[in-house]
Amino acid sequence: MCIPIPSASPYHPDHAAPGRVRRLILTAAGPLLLLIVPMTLVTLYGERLPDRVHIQNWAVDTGHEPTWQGWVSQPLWGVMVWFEALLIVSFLRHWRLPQVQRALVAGSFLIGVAAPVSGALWLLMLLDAPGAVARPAWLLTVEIAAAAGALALGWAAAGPLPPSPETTAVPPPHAPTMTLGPWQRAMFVTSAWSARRLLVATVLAAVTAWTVSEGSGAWQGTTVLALWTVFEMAQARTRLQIDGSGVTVRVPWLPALRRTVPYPRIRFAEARSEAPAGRYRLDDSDAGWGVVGGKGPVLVLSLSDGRRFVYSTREAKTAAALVNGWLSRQRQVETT
Amino acid sequence: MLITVDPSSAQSLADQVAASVRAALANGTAAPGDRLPSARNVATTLGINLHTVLRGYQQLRDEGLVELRRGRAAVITDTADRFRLRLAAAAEEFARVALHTGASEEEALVAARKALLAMRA
Repeated sequence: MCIPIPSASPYHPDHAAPGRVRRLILTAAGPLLLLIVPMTLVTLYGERLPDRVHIQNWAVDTGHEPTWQGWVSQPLWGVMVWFEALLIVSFLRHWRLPQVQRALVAGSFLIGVAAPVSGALWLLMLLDAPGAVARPAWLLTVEIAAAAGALALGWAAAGPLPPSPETTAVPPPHAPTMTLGPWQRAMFVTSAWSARRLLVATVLAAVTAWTVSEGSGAWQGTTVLALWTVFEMAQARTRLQIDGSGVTVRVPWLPALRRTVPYPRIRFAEARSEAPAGRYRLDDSDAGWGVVGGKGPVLVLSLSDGRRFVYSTREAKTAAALVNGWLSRQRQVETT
Repeated sequence: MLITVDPSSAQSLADQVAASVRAALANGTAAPGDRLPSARNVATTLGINLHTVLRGYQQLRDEGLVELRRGRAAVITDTADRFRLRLAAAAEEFARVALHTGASEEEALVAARKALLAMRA
């Protein structure tokens, strides 16, 4: 598999470089702990453990000699390699997106800290156990707390993200521009909804409900499904607001969920008859982010980091003209 | 929907808010069933008084263009007459130009009538 890593150029500056090696190392470190912690415990206490221990869905053989060959043949080894490959490939695919890299570090910590903590507690409870041991109820609480702590720790360990590049150039002459008076204030509001995202969210909600009704013991899987459902549902209906502070996308039923593009990060705006190629969702991709609901006109913001923000609206021309109007007014004042 | 106000304008801010909505209806960027942004949001974003925005919305309600209900978003009604609004917007623009050129009321009306007759002919 070939993962193209974009090279830096004057038009696509590599602003993600500061701290990237640190984020890469932290991303790679998590899954290693998944193996190291059980290895260490089995090495230390192997003789006092049952021959086979089940940690969540993974079984660990403790009856053999704790050799490297023995560990490589364990299912846990395969799990570790799979997670490692997944995280590293994801990191390389988002080479220029520090915000995605930070999320990967948090995910890596979740895998590398939360799962081993839960496994270690379980292994320690099995020491010298005469027979079957019931899983204590408090273990779930500890697992949830460890997961939340690991996410927060990973987020913090990723460190501050490099600042996004800013631009001060006025929009090009071909871009539609609304003339705003020196004291004029303006706001533009529109909303969009996507039947496709609503359908995906409904299917995910049904799957989540099914896993809950089946009494699945793996709460982590159910939580991921629930969060994915919320993420898709959030994109089913969104509101866009353009005002003096920038361009903001809000989720009407979840006001805390919002993303703003401030004007210093916008080169110019344009209206297009349909969305440009690429993936435009509420999270980041190499192409950019946004909300695209099927075919139709879109507002396209050319961002200072070389990506785009895309939003489906039938009033794309008005929206683009207002954004360029704000940019022209702010930047002409700055340059005079 | 685009809402603009200019504190340096002679027109009151409430009138400007109402005029923005009328303009959106006239040029087709707003349609029956669309929701207006909440008065609180407009007031906060544009830095004007909440009651000023509400006065603008009440004008639109009195004209039958929007439906206002306590605690719910203002919605553009199905009866909003786009033809009449376009005509009013065009007339306003014409009146603005006529005033700017210094034409008297009679001269402006004669010019409008002449243009109408010329186009019909």
